[in-house]
Amino acid sequence: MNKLSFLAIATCFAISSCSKLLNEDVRSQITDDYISTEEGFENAVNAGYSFLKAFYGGDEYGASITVFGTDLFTNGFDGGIKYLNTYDANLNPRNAACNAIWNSLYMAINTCNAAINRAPGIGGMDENLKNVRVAECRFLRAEYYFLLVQLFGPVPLKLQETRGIDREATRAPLQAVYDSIIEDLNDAVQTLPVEASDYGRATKPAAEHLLAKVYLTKASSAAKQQDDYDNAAKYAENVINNYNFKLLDDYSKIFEEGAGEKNSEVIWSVQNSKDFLTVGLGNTLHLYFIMKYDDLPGLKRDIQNGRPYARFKPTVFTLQQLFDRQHDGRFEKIFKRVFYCNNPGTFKNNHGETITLNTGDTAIYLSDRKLTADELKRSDSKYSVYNPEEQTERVFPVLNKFLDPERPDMNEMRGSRDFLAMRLSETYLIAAEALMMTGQKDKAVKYINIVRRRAAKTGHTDAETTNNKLAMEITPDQLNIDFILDERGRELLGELTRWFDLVRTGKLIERVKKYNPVAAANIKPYHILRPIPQDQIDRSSTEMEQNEGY
Amino acid sequence: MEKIILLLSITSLFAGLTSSAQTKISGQVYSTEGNQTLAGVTVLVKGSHTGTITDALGKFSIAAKRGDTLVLTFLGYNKKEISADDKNVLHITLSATINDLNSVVVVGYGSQKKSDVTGAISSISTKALQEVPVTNITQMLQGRAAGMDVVAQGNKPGDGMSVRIRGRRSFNAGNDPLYVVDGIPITGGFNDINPSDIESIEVLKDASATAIYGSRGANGVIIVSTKRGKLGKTTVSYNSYYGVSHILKYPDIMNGAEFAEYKRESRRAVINPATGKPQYDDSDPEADQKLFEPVELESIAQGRSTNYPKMMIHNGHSQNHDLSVSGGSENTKFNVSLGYFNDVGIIPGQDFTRYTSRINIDQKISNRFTIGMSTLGSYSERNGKDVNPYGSGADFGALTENPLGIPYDDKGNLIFHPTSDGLRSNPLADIVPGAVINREKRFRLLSNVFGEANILNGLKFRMNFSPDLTEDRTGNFRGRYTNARNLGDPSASNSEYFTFAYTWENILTYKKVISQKHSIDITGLYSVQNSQEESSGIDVASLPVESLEYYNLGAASIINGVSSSYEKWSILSYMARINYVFDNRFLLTLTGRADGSSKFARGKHWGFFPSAALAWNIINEKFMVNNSLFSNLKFRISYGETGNEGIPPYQTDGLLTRTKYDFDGAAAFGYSPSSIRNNNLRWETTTTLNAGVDFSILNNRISGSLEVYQSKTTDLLLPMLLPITSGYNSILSNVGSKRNRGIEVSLSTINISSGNDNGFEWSTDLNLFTNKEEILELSQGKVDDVGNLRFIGYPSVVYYDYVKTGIWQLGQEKEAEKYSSIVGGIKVKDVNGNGVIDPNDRQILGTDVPKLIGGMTHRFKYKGVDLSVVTFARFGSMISSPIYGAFRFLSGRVNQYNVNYWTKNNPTNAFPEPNSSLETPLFGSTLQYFDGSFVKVRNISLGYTFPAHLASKIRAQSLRVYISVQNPFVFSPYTSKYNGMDPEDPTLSTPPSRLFLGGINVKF
Repeated sequence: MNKLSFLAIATCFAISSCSKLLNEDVRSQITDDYISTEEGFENAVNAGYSFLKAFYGGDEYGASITVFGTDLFTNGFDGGIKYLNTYDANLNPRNAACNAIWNSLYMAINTCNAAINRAPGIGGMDENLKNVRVAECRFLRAEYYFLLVQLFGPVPLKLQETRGIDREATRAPLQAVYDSIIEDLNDAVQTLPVEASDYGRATKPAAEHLLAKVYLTKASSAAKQQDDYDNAAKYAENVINNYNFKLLDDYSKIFEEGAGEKNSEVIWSVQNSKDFLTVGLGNTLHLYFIMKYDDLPGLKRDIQNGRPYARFKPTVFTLQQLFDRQHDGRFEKIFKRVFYCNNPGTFKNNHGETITLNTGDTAIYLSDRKLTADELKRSDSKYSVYNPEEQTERVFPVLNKFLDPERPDMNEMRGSRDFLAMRLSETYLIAAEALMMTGQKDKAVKYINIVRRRAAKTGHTDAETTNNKLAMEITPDQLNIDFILDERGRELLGELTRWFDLVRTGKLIERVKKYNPVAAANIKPYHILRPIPQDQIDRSSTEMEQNEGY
Repeated sequence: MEKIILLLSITSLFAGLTSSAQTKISGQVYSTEGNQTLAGVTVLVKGSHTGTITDALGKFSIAAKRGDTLVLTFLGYNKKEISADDKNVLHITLSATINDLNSVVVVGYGSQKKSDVTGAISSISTKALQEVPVTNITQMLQGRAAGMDVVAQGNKPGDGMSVRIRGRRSFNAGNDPLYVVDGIPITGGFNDINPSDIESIEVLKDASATAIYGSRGANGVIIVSTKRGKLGKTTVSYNSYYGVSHILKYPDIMNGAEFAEYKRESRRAVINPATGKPQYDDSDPEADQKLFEPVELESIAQGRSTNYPKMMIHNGHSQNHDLSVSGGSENTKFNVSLGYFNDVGIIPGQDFTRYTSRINIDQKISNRFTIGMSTLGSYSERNGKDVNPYGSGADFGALTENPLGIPYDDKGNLIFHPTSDGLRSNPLADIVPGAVINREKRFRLLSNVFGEANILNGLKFRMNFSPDLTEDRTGNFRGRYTNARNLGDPSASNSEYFTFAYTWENILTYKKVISQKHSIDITGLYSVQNSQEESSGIDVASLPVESLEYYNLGAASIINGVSSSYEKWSILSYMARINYVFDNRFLLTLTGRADGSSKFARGKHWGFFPSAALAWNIINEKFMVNNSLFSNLKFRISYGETGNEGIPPYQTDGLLTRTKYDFDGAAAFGYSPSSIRNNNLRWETTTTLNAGVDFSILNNRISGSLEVYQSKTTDLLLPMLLPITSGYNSILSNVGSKRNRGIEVSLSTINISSGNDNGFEWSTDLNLFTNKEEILELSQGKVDDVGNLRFIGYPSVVYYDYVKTGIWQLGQEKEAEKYSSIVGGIKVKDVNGNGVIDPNDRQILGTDVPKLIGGMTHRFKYKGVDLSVVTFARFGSMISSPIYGAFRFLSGRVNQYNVNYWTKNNPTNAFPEPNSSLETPLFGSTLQYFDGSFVKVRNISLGYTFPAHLASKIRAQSLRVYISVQNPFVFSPYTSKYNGMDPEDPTLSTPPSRLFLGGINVKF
């Protein structure tokens, strides 16, 4: 019986100590209280930056929604979101691209809100540093709302961290969204330093550049106010005049991979590195502009030429009309039209000729004009020549700005290149556009010519170069909104701004109909806004309107 | 003490029966099966009125003379007469009558006579368990019990089964039943247990049976009992088989010539806008030259074709060896076994090897105390679990490899890129030994140590403590010449999981029979379950040397990721159960269990799960005494609640997710909010009403049961979908409800019986059941959640897509364009008739839930020869075959099934025209849905048991040899009409195989 009572006592003892087991023991995860500490707050700010990749190159959505479906690019052969180019029935409230972008932007905003809201309660932190970090988050929040408002129009305005179940969502007036963006950016302009403690953080000039663009966009929106263009010009000129930014002499140097990405005309860039522990999604823009080269005679896939996703094909307008090929050097610098053999052998080329290729020989030449029969005959016996009319959704000139041959292997998608989100040449163009709209064409032309002179083709002699530079200059009577759009097209080709530029200037429908035959058939006036994701509408407990037409 | 109890019981219960006598004869009564003592057996002295009945320990004492004959009778057991000889204490065994009403059924925390069971329980007999050689427990269950839908999760060695009892209830908390091995709930790792060690399996289905497992019982409970030692001579058993497996059939893919024509057609479909001519222009004599590359042209010219799927398959083999020693004396019973199992699959590099040991010991310390243990030690190695060289989508795999390419050069070396397609490396390169390594090593030590004390007559206390240790390591390596690396430097990773779980149970039971008519059985339980898992992993690339495999990750120049984690949960439980039997006619079971789980919010930890059941043994009514039709008839009804807590821990806390960024190369990791706190998270609860009838007629020639049930699951642990403007996609909450309703029939028949052991006998087991699964409410009430494909009134998995009505034919250009398609493309139905095809035109095409499921086993016996045929069938489900819905299907780039596609000269309505400008056909997903009905013959087995006199020549007690074929036949529309391979696993990552084996069972 003694044994039994011992057992009974032991059991009772054990039982009473067990109820503690029901308290959770969270060790390998971190709960949200952490953000209220100084360290956690810094981490939340870092997290705010990480969402930039979701739009700028982390996947193909941010690029697709801005690059094709415009006058400059149409769809290539591959890919499942061609509806953003074709404007067909698949561009509906359930489309994956708009959903993904909407989702990641609002998650980004909630992260920024968390940092901004918790900041006042964090003790022991250097107040100045705290204010800078809050201003960084407000800069980021403004950036995210600016993307949203350009894509979707009036959107729900959430400025507080979500702390419980929140099912309410109503679309704020356009004016309120812009007011919030401008308020955030004003704070950022006032608080942020000229140079950040860490390269890549938001700075005062970056905030000014963004603010200039916000005013420029607002100026032609339903929320426009009288002084919007003046403000746009003011902030753009601040960036141009008050800091040490400077255009590089050579346009092609801007996109030099590696150290070259950090150059004097970069105002602010989205950061990526070669370290896979920090790169996350990385910059995948290197994939999308590459034509399907790897099944052509003499070629196989390699790191140098890249992984061919064949998503964005330049339109005929871009290839044949946009550039003044005689004086403008940019076309040659940004398009890759020759592929060299890396898979030697004897092949039939696209014209049925037998060709023998050794490593390093020209394998493919994408001609920018129709070659004469004689010219064709001469080159055709050596390699494959694609005349403009033979260029297809699979075979087209490749925009080389984002190519990333420093990836560790040819199929690696996570690129390490920074995305140059704000460049000084764009600031010039913003200033020029704003000045032109307020009637100050002379001043506008001055800025445009700075950009154009730099772009001039390098001649065989200095004299020729000088001559080219002169030829690039324009006069005030040549300046109009179409010229600005063309110039932005030339200077910023493929840099994730085109769709916004066309919408802002009210030229989307007109120019798409004119220059993008695939999209022309379907595009309608309502396409200046994207559909609000159906999930958002379905899940909101409050009534939420869809954009017209969808 | 003991004597007093004995005396008390005798005097109080049977005082009226005792009469004066000269001698006392005493004894103890056992059942022949399981060696359990039998309480309540009537013992009479033949030819007198003297009688008694056995007490709770099966003991009796009776006044009789030496030489008298004692007559023992007990319901469900054969009557036995025994002479009271000169032994003082008799040891008597009774054997169960054939209708096995008295066979003991293992229920939660104890066992019951079958006739006393009130819940819906299916038992799988030892015979059935041994019929089909299998890798793990889950495979033993297929087609064996009504209400249990068991479907293969793949065809690789070591692949398990998905087991669903009475449908699916939950979306997020899991639908796997609870497995209880030797009384201890375990999670996962069924491959660790050697099926040969299993004595019996019980499937608990209704709330009456499962409510005692409370929070873990909602999905049914599978109780596994392993073999224990029995009183008697020590026996040594050796069971072994060896078999060879072959692919069931090769898929019909396009050969070289067919592929060439398909590739041409894919270019004929595309018109070059500049020239107005098709990309493949038949009028151009150079068209082939332009389209194909040299190796393809050579193959076309020579009529050469490479069949990669065929080249990848070899013959597999499978073997199993078990050695066990079992025996027992009065005080010590033991069963020790060793097992070795090895299965080499039909795709090189896929295999599974397991070594197991089991020690089961029961030791009686005194009349009052017993201790014992069950220990399982298991080590296994599995290769190729996560690799699919046969086919895994468009970018790789033998199935889709271009047959015009050649795999080897003149010298017999592998050509890494057989064609110029940079994504398509030679699939045979991936099965070169050492090129791709995916190796899982697992070690498990699962013990149950128990002590049992008889405190008072009928009152027992038992304590179980069960530590469960698992160590699981997986190493991965991909060499340079593999599709994963595609000439990049090798990559490697390893991951490790270490789990320590324990269960501690204190069980108090009390059994009492009052005035022969009232039998009471009370069980009380307090238990603690706890599990802690630690894991770590590292993933690297750019290893300098191939031979390093994953053993020197530090040598890599790229680190893709480093991780570790810790996870812990606990459940505290109190349970009480009362079984009351009145006069063997009316049975009542009341159960209540309270569980506290750490996974739920503070204040919501505890859940209470009650159940009640009533049964009526009609056969024991007086009015049935003279009936000659029924030998058993029982009605049962039960009602109760069970819970589900199968979510990962830490769901109630607002958690942060790590983010990645850098500032100019310097790491800038961050944390962003990823889940919202939910202070209301609580149990998911299932309420089940079950009615059943058990019957046996025509002298047990036909026996069976019928069950009808309805279960309703409320407070579903379901993400409440939030508008993403909140910053969150969803929050795990208790919302919505689901219902399952079904009917189950089980029948066992003896079709032909000669009446003696050596004569011809044919018997059949059949089970048929149907379950209707319906979502009643979701997070927004009775509103479909189209985004997650959840629809009110439908099961949780539905196929929701456009409705294919055919192919657009020549002359219908305008219409095709209007409906977002092209001539030669798929024509879908404009369901809402609004003139365009939009997402609202999608329909629910079918579900994965069959309308009827069944299993049938036939057994034939004649003299020493036995033959069994096991079949399994599902009818009326829909399957989705990823092969037909694949990326790049009919794009002219990769190979496909040899389907009947549309061309201008072949105006079929079956498949669309190949089109090189489309990565998948327009509305191509509509091509992947098929009727999933099938009948599978799982196993045919033919055995011969040698007569005892022959067996004894090798000093064996028994000797049986057998041959068997697994998976001999499959009948299904998917395989016969649509070139499918396996309706159970349509993914085809590894094709099904057929195994021929021969084996031996010998016992010394």
